[in-house]
Amino acid sequence: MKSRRRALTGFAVAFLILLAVPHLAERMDWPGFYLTFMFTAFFWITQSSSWNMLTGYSGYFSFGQGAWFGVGVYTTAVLAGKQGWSFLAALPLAGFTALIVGLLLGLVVFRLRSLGGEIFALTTLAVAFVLAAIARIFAAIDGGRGAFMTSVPLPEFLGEFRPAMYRMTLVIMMLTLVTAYLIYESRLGWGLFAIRDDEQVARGLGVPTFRYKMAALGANAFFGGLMGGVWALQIGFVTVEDVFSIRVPLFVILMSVLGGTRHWMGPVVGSLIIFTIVDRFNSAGFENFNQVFIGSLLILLVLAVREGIYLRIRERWVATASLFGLIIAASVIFNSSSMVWKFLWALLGILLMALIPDRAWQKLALRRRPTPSESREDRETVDA
Amino acid sequence: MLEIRDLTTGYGRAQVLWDVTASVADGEIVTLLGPNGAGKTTLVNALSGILRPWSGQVLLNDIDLTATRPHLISQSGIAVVPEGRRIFPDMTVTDNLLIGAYNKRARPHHEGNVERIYEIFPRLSERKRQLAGSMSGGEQQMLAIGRALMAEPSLLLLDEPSLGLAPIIVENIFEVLKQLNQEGLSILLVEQNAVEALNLAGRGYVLEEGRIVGEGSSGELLADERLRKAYLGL
Repeated sequence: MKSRRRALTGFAVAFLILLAVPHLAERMDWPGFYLTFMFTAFFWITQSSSWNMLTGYSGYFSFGQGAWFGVGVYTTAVLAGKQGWSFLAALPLAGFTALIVGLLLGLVVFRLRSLGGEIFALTTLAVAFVLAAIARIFAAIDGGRGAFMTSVPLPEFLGEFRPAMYRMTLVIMMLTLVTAYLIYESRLGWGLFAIRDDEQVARGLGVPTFRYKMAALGANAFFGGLMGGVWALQIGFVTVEDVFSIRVPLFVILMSVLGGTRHWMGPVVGSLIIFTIVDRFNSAGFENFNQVFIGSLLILLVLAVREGIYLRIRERWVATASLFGLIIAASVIFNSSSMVWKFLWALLGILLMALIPDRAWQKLALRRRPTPSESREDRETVDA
Repeated sequence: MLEIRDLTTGYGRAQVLWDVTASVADGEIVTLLGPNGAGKTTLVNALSGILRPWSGQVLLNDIDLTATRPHLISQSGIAVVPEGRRIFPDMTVTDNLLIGAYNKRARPHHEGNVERIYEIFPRLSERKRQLAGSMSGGEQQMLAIGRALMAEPSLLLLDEPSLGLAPIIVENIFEVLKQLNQEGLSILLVEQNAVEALNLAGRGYVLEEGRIVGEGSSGELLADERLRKAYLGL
């Protein structure tokens, strides 16, 4: 209970600090793309964290993120872009529409026991295809002509476009992370992790598996859709091909797996690292190399850090945080490039830290704390 | 305590069990023996709600388990130690135990119960924060039993707890089962290891090709000529 109160205070503090950033940016005359960079990072953190509530927690592998995202995008595109609703009235519906689609899917797939494993993954992929087809067919949604979001007015209190996007994505990200944290710390989270490890045994122990899986799928769809609803504004001209492409599901999987799916912080770390790398690659004009590079990086990292970066660096967070700060400080002193580059160098520092295997780290840290596998060896010699 | 009446079930259209009738009385240890493929694990699955009976009844303290939803069965007082242990490998020992107290009835007492499990299995208390998957087979079996006990069962159902364990560990674990039984726990022990099982149990059933083909006190079964040949290698 105490740790939960402390964590929630931490969320509140982080929220207030991040909320102050647009004012700071204005006063210190930061380049505009700093805010864009940040709210795009918020977007990816939200998408991957919401994906992780289903797949990371319950183990049901989903390619459905594009579907929840797409439903959200088209909900605000239709209501605010075409029907002239006020944007903030349409936005919650983006989340709720995705939630309803998600729960309908859950009713089907979680009731049929034969739809486990790979079939579940393919079914979620199929949902995105079906939704794309529906959007393309019906002129009221898209009809193949696309939908414009460029003339949708935003309420004045949110400020100009960039700060408004920043504030809205920030709120949704914080809601997503608090939810991910609360589930992680709750009985629901425990039950989901038990389902991930062995669903049959979990049910035998009294975990209401159907209800829990529905809850995880619902939370995933809701936050994915809600963020999609805001993102329609950033896309501006919404098309079926773009929205329902495989990009969103592939990136959230990549980010979460790299960061680690067994902890709510994993997708946050993974999203920051991958999004920043991709963003800097694009800005350096290497767009075409991106996929080759990211593909190789993933193979390498997944092999090197199987449990995900977050669980690795958690054990050595003091050193990691120091390295992060050191790189930031050094690049501020010696290097005049933009803050985003400095952030990238510091993130690469974290990555490097995570790549050090446990054994090597213990030697480096001059400490001998037995890892679980080692203490097992110890015990076996005692037995003998 | 437990009454299995004319239980018939199987997978898909393949029938595995034919009219199985058996019972466990209060405070009894009963063993169910049988070769590989006899349907022992199928019976365990039917009792724990993983598999729906086609016909027949399973009564636990006069509650019909066949009409109980699977996740509520543990609340009614039966706890299963599944074949192959099936602990949660990526959770710590303590978390594995805590998740055993998931059902509403046992949940309020989880703190005291964890302490009790650590008293029963001191080996586990030395490894509280260790990941369960990194422990030895014997320790994992202790953990699986501990996890089942966390549900505060009146009947403990064990599926081949001796599988793949060194004889000394098996002895150790059976000793604990005996103790638990003396404290009032009823036990249904499904085993291939007939000698050890009959030494522990008061009564036994023999399951072959999905049918009960023999039953009696442990003494009677141990003396049975056919059984001695088939299961005891004597």
